[in-house]
Amino acid sequence: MNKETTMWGKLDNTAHLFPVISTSKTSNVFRQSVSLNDDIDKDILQSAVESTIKCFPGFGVRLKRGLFWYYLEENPKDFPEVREEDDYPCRLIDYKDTNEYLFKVSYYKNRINIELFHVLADGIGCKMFLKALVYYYLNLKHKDVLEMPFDDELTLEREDGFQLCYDKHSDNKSNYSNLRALTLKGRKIQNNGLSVIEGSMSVESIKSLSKKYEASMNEFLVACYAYAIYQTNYGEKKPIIITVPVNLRRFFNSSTTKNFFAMVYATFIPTEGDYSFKEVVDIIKESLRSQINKENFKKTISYNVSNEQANYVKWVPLLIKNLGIKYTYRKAAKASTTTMSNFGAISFHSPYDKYIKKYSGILPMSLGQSIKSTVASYDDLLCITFSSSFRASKVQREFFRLLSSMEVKISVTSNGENNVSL
Amino acid sequence: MYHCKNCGVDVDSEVCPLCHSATKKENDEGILTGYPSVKAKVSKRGIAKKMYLVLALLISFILLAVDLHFSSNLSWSVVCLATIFLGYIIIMHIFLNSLPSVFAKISKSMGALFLYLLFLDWFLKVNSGWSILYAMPILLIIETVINFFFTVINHKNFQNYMIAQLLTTILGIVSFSIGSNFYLSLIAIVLSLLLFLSTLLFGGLKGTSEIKRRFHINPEE
Repeated sequence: MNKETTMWGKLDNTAHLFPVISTSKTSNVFRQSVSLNDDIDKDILQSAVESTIKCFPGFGVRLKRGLFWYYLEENPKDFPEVREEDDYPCRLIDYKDTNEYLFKVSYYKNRINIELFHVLADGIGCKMFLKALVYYYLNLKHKDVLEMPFDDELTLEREDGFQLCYDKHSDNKSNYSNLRALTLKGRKIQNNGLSVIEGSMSVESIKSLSKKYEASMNEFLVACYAYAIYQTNYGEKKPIIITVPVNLRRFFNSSTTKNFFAMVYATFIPTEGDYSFKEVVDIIKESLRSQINKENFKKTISYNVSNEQANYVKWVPLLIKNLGIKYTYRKAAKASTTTMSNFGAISFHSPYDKYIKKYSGILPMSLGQSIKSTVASYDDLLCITFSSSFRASKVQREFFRLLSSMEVKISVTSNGENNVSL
Repeated sequence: MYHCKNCGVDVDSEVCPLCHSATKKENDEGILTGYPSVKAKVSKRGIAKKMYLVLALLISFILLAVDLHFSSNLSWSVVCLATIFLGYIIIMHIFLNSLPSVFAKISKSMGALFLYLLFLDWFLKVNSGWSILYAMPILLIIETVINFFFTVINHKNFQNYMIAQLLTTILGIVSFSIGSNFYLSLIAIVLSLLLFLSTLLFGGLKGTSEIKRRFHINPEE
């Protein structure tokens, strides 16, 4: 039956940016994957995806263009066939292939991948969706032994966290970095290809190292990353700025599956001579701690939302607004060297957990950032994945060598795109 | 699994992905899923675009040379160049892009065609003003007729064409006020307005909610 009305919703504050700046080189499509113990059954995965979309209607949408803003509208089309992975990760979503859905599901051997356009959700929202998908999949595959679990982490909430936490009276001055960061350069892979290097290690080993340096795991890994960049760009005086997305849900008591994150900038300026690893850890720790607090995030939210709500922005036609967004984005992109996104410790309910082996993620490239990384852990397995459009893998090599020199046992795999070039 | 002595890591291949040196086989375990080998997909659109560009450049160069050879300044070759450019915009950026709607492709082509005619009018300076006087309202009338056919044929999704109907009406008013032919612009306004109002009237809730969506007014939760 033809429905009289179509459900629709506004984009969240951050999502306005993504449709405007997305190109084949900067797709804003990120991937999260779960590796199971057994190979994936395509038909079961297809049924699981369909069930999950019914459960998460906020993901069964398509992107439409309004006169003043983009918006999301429920997608009446069927979800396309899930496919075996056959392309580089994080490619720009071709709406013809996905029936206008804003995410793709693929599989490879024992791994389920979801690639999601950032308009729809952030890493945490995607994690909720992927967890539900895995529950449905395992439930269909092991019908006799499993029942769908109640997981309080799985929520259908699609509130705009930014609007809810916006305080009109709060200080809304921009706290974005004005520094011009070091830009990493190198020979690129052809046809917008992406090199993926994934290192797996024990969570406990990283935890104990972090303790040794009196840092959190996140601070420690960001410091390792900054040190690897410092070592491979020795002599550069420009600031090494690592963008670290922070989940705002825990600060503002929200459980939305929409985007609800803010960026903090781990900054290390190598102005004086040589720096030891310990010194870099201390600088990064201090930089992150000074930014990760509720007051700072309140200011960021107020600045962003007040800009969105300003009348001079609200009623400007989308076409003109897009030009402004592009200009601002290009300016802001110069303030970051790279990004490290931590999806945190992922858990699955028992008895599902025994079917799951690993959780990982891949980030797409963005303007000025040709290498990025993600961190995710499941059980005692920590997975650090570097994605890069460079042929060489100097930074990745320094990073893993640094950890390995601290007695961390690491297993590395790659998609083979960083082979030696002649 | 293999082991790389230089990097101190276990890897799943004979060559270390980090330092590209040979690795040493340690055992037959292979716990890593890895990634498929991907052959770069060559986009047909990319090839078509490059071929069109090469041909266009070649033809443009010949045309400019011939024009300059036979007359002291550029004249007809500029018109040819503008036509090649129009073809490029329509074929590459409109028909070969990922827009799912055929109607949107046709509408964008009409817009490109109008800009082309506007340029010709300005460049040729023969009876200048015809692009605004006649071309603009005529194109708006054609756009309304096309819109009508799409609305009827794809009547289940009639709401998809409402914003175009509204924009055509607004452009009709603009053409009327900037001095287009009185009768032609009046026909353009009346036809598009009639189409928009009748779609709104017969469309019921589905039509009004489409307008609300496009104008971003109170999303239903």
